Amino acid sequence: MEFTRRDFLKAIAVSAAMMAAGCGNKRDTTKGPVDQKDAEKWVKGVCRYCGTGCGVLAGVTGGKIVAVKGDPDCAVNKGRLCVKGILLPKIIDTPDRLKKPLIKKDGKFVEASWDEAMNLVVEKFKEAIANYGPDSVGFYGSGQTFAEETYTMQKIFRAGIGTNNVEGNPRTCMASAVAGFVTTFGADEPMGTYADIEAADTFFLIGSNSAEAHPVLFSRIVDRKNSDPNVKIIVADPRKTRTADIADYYLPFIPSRDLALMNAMAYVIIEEGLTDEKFIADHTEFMKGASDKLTYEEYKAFLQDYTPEKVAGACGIPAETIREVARLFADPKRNTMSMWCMGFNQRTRGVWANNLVHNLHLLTGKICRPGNTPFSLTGQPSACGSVRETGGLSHILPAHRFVANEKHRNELEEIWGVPKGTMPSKPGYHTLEMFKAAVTGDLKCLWVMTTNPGQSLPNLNYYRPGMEQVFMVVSETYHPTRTSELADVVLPAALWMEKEGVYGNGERRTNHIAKAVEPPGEARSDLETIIDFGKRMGYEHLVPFKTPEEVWAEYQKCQEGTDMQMASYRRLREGHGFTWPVAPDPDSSPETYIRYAEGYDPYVKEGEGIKFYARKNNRAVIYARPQIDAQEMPDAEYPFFLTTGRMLEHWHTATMTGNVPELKNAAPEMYVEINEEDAKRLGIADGDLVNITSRRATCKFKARINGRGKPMPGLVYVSFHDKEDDRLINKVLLDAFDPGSKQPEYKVCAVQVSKAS
Amino acid sequence: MALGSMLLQMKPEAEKNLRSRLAELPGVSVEERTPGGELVLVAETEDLAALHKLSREIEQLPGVLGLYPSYVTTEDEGE
Ligand code: SF4
Repeated sequence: MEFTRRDFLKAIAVSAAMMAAGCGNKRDTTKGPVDQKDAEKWVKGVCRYCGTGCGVLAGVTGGKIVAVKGDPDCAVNKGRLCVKGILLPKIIDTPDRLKKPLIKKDGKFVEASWDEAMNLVVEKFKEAIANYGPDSVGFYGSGQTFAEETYTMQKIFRAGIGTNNVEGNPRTCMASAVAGFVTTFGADEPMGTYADIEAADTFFLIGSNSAEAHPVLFSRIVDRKNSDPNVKIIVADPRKTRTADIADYYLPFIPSRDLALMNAMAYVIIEEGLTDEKFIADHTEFMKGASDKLTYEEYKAFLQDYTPEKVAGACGIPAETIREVARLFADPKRNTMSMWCMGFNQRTRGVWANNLVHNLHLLTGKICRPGNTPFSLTGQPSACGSVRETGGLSHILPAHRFVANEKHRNELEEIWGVPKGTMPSKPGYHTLEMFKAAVTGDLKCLWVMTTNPGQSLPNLNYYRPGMEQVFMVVSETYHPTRTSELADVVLPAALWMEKEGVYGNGERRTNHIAKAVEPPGEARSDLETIIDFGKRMGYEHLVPFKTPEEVWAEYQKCQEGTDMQMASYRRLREGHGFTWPVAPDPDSSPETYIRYAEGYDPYVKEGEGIKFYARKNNRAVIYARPQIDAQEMPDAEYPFFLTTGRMLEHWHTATMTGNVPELKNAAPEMYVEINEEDAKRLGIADGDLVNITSRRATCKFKARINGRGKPMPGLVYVSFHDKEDDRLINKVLLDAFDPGSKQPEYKVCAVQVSKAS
Repeated sequence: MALGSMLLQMKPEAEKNLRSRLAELPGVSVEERTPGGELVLVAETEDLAALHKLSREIEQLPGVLGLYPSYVTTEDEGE
């Protein structure tokens, strides 16, 4: 029988799918990429898109990435990818790929040499610092840079320039989760990992559409559910999404009333005796603010306002349903995992929402055991690894240190070899403050790297003129974007596997991306550009690095003595990602599945059981946090809620996915989802053009009724991927922010909806 | 030609109906059923765009919870 090339490809295809289904042969997973014969070489990396952090293998032929497949040895995805991941090769060679530096002269971009561009950047930065002080310049980075890049840039800004104006877009997606973990447990990032999915019996998914935003994780939840009829899933979301397809309980709560919902669940858990009293007594304390302690009895008294019967109307969820889900959550015979994402974080009370889900786990002791964990999903591939951990926000320093803490600053000054007191003690601008300072003229120079605030900030009409006015450097792979069009200098950046570096995903997994191909034209890695900038600014002593590995070695010194030691570069290169802490020996110790738990976490000694060691008294906090509505609720004039989010085919501002024809064609323009009853009442049919108007702006979209998402009555939904002026939905959004985390409220504002003429 | 394999996750009760719907789609074959209850599909189409369109069609069949491509090649498209 003849075995054709087609049969061969088909056999590879089937075996890749079987591998992705977990049916491959057992292999030594430390030995690097699988042997594949359908490309010249296969190089190990991580997906460029979402915070799931799927391991990928890039097939290289003739110096080009011609194929991508899931890394079967990566514990995150075990070979599985979503449609965006498999089409990754198409983001590389695109018509808008920037290959030379650009300088804006007389309102027009002209090509320039690297020397000319960098000289101009340095001249402007030096001039601003000399005339207006170090706080007149700022850096706005991204959860898509490599860890080495942000680490080096924040070092230059803090120890060289002398400002903490180091910010990044994780402020807009994860800051409330950070503050939630820090206020409840004393340290950022989850105790559990994705491996809890396979051990959980009850899933509480709130403010997360993982089916579209984290597809591979969703597939693991589906696998878990299909493998055991006992598995139950609660999905709480005002918009019925594809995630709700697997729900046993679907809770469409009224936007921003989830605080009351979770307090009511806590009430039921206590009232019905479903608490773990020993866990509460041994490992928790009660508070109502940063320093106001409460007794357990006072906390119970606080919850009297949140009986299911009292909150049912306000939440839009029947009291009996609240009781049922609380019982399911707390059932002592079941393991419970909560997962949330932007629906929780992008809110004026995002930190409190995070505290309240932690409360549920602490009251029931469903934490720090396999299958029991609160778990925050991250939006970007390396929001944790490249920003939260490296000190990429204006109030934090590398390895979970804080700007405001003198001891922390001194520790870093010693490692960096700069005099004590070099680093400023005042936290820098948070994101909205930074862009506001560009509007008011207080900020003179701004460097934006690997992100697109010209499209992604809320209330855009207010902030875009500031970006035009400030001297703005944009490091980008593509041009034009809605940000680079406003820049003074655009620097061409190598993309993804055109450079070497490290990403850290949402489960504390640090994974290495090898360089597979050369960047096109004069594009170069951002690390190279940052080091060049440091030297030209006169901070040669701060950037003695020739390779990402050398940066990593110094960053590892910053991790010593903290709770987040990571694997050595050698291991990262050879392995498929390690969940930190990797201690005491980064070169040989195992990764950590569960933090704070004896037997898993190297910092918890034998006999200590569970120890929340990041807090002085080793106790996590159960907070009394009241229901507070979103800042802008619907009223007679603006009667609808508007919420925004993502869809499967696109990612963030679609600078990458908009370049992939298959993805672009599948979702060429964004639309507004309207509830069927509302549409009928307003005389709007599917496909009609509709105005969405807030107090700030109007956008126009085609209506989608009963599409893949179904908003509850009174709510409309738009994905934020569209860059066209008419559909730039972030113009419509409110720029209110959480007073604790400073994260903007993208999820709730009030709008009018009308048929466009 | 484009050829791709995908894992199809579904509501268990939808399998029978889905198999017959898949059988009606030209170029699609069900190659395996994994122990976890997922179907391994192979799809062959004229080009990548058609493969993607077909995937979208499959994704929207009733009972489908997710479709995850594992391998895609357009080897003899000369791309
Ligand atoms: S789930 Fe996320 S990380 Fe995984 S392939 Fe899809 S976009 Fe990439």
